[in-house]
Amino acid sequence: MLRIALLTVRARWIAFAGSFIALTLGVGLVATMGLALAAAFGTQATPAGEDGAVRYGAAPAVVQAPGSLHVRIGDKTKSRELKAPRGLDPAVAARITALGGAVEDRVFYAQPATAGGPRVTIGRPWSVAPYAPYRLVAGRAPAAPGEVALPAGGSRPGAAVPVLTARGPATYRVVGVVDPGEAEPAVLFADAEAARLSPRVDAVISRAPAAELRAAAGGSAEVRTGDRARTAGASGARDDTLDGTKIMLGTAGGICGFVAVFVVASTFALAVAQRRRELALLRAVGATPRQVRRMLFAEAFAVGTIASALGCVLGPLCAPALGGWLVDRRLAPPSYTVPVAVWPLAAAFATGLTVSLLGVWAASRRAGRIRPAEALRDAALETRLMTTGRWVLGIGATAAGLWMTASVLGDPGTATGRKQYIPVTMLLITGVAMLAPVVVPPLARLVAWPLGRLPGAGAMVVRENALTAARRTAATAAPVLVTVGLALSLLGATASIDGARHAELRAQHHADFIVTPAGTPGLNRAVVDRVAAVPGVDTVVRTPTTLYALEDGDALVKYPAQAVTPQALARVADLPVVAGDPARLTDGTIIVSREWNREPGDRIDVWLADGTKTSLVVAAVLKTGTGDGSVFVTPRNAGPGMPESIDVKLRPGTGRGAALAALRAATDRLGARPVPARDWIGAATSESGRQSRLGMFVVLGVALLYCAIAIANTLVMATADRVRDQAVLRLSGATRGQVLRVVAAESLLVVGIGAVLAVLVSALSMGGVVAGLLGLSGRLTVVVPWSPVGGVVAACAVIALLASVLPARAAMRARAVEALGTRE
Amino acid sequence: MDSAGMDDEAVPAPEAAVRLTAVTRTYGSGDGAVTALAGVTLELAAGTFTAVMGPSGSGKSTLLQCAAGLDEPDEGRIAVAGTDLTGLGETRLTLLRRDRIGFVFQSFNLMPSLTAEQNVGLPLHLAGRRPKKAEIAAVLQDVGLADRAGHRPSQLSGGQQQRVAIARALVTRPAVLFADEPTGALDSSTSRDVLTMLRSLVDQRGQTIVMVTHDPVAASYADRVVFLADGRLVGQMDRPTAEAVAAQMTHLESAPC
Repeated sequence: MLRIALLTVRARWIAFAGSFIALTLGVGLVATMGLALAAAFGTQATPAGEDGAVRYGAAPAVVQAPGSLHVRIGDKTKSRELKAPRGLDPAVAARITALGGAVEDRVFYAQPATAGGPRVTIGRPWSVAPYAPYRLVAGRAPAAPGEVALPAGGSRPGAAVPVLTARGPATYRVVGVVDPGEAEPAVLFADAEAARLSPRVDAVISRAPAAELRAAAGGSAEVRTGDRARTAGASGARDDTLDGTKIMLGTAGGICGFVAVFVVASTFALAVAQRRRELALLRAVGATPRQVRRMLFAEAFAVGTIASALGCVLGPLCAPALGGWLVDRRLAPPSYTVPVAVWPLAAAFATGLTVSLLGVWAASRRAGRIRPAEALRDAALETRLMTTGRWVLGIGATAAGLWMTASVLGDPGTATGRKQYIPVTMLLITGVAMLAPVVVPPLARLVAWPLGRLPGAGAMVVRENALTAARRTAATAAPVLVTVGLALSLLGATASIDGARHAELRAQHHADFIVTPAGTPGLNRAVVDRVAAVPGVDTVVRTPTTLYALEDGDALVKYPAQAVTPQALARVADLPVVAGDPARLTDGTIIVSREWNREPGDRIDVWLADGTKTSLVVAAVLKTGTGDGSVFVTPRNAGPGMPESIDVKLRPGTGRGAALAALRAATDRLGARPVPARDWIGAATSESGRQSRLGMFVVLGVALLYCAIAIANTLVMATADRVRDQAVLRLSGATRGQVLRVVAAESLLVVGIGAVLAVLVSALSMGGVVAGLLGLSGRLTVVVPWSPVGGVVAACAVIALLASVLPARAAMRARAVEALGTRE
Repeated sequence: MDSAGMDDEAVPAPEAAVRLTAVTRTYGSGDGAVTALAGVTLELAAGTFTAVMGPSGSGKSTLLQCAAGLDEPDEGRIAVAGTDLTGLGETRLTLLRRDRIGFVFQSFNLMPSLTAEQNVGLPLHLAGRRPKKAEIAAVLQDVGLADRAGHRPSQLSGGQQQRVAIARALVTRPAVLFADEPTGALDSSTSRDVLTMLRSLVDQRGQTIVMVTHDPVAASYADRVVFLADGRLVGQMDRPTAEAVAAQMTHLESAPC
């Protein structure tokens, strides 16, 4: 049987090439994503210091507070990484110091406000210099409170430099210059001055034996030696980029896997469907159903093995390029590289082979049931549109998608998560694609209706062809459905979520001006005090922070939160209050979002960003919202972070110009500047929009590229199958131009049908997201990204036209009468 | 799946190569139902050449397909070469067709990618046998195509393609050869060659042939013509001439119904 199969390859090479290309590229895609994802999990997170700089390059041992929060719940311990550095327990620090050979390290914000020199944002005590190490290259060590040593490249010894710290500006005299080498550049203060600026002890460097240190530390501090000492200080605030990379690649991998499976399965099914007549003939001359099935399986196995192997060669070629691109666009940390790993390739190979066998399995069951008498009739007439399996899968996937949407209607936070809307989109696309043969005829009538208004026979032929071969039309429209459906659903969901964020940001900042950091990581106390002293304005100082709380008593959950000065909050921010009164926000209270499941008046245990445990009373409950604007505490509960912005609202009667001038004066040379609130909101939205767009571009881009190839592939296959129809058309008196116009119109009709189905799918999947947003923020936000989706549809149309008209033109070089015989 | 077991169900009257008993076949259901065969009983002796004629829609192709095991009747029984086809599964039917029944289509239905030789050997391949070159050559010789063994269908004329199809049908030495309008797609002189060849197969090898045709000249090559109208047997004619058949057909086609 395999021999017969091999012999038929010659006659059906386009169908074979189509399946082959689809599978090779599909496996290549899965392999690329698999390798990239495996590499993301294999990459070390960059240490906390900027650009991977080392904090303790020459320290024998470092004792520091654990970087994570451990909370005992019953007999289990839950842990979360802390977002802010936590000071070492003074008692522990004292015990370690008592062992001798110890140096206390303090790491705090300090930034010389001078032009030129390396960017420095931290300050440390001079005593740590030998351990970082900072090598003195000029001058001497700082000893008096007003003296500092700076990294080389900036001010010379003897110069007076203003240095910004969290307290505000102060002028210091440079007495020494150090070469930081690999170490994190820092402003080095005299030890006593460093202790005054930052009383918290971040770590103790010690020469004492590790065992003694461990005994002294007990369970409340960690002791790091050797290489682990080198990277100490990194555990608290890891680089978030890598987590983003993992999430993005995971999502992209899921979508690519789905697209590859979908396209390969439908291509294989189309290839089998095209051979219906040939298979019926084999049946008529004596092939049993089993023989037909075995022949198809043998073919699929051969094609599947070779194509999957080729795809596995493609993966290692493409994956490093993808990795480089991600690093260039800052979507992955600089340390991210993509080595070749075996298991992603093995998984891709197995997926390819399995999908090709499954694709043929479904089709071969149909093929095995082909009655030999069909060889006597015209095989282009499809007798049954739907099989039981198709009904079950189609209705099952659609129902599952709708059920998933319906089940989270009461849980808006989940409804807007990508783990929700992406699977829903996939399920609906699968379901609609399966049900397409039923949906296509009415849809074809609808889409082709404008064609029918045109004079001439062409429109009639186009419409009737699409209607008669509903299954073929459905198969060719499937790649368009996937392409447009994914683009519209996912871009629509992200754009709507961004739109909701933008609206929320506007409601939260009913301010005239926002004071923001200028070249500094945050606002120092001098800025805060001087802006507060500007007459005729209300201000709200905001500090981003993180809170940890127990959810349902058994999970330690991390919540983004804002520490705000409460006095003017109600005037500046339009808070979506569910219960309680935000005005009651004090140092002993908290405003929480609805997802906390609390009532005003409840007392709850909360851990602050640095792990400090405190107990707060709920003052108000807000709608959950989409960002971090629904949990509020006062600055006292903010942890060690610096304020990020000050909202400034003019009181009635205050002139805008005068206020702006006063704000400029108040922030002058303090590393801050006032900007109009509208500009600030615009910049914040476009930045988060840019990131989510870039991420979506990666997630979707590769999958869409593959879809484009699949559209071309499917249409070339379908057109090759129709040489005979076109010959009949020509013999009935159509000119070449007329035939080509019919071909072009047919492929446009297919694109139109695919696009309409995609809109249907997207309306359903986006509906869930929009309902979720409505529940989160109380606003109805629907953003349809018309231009990118329009671009995708246009690209589909162009590809479809090229992929059908060009082969049809080539086929018409033969005389119509000869073409007529090609199927016999 | 062993085809040898089927011979056990042999029935008496060995001379009947094909026997249809009260065969009914209806397509569709409800108002759109079309009765193609309405209780046809017919017996065809071994070694004879029978033509089945009738106006369009008389059910003659359905009769042929049912008799050849390509289609199943709703009611009635069909026996071919002593084997009752009723209730055989799809696989057993296929095996029976492969071993005992040959079929020739109007539109040749050759595999375009296979040569004449490969097309002829296909049924043997499907039966799991490796056909001997001499065996194929002999069959091609019988149909007068010994020199065309390596050609593909696209390189052969219509008459030659039909003769390849006949050779393919004969290669398994079937008890009955069914032919559905075998000359329908051929010109008259090519038709004559094919019909003469079919006639000689009956005369020289005792091959049983059942042929559906609408052409009185083609029918005149048969030993016997049976006429169908509206799914019923309406007459038969032994040792037919083209003129007599044409007259009978004219009568049938103009009859009110």
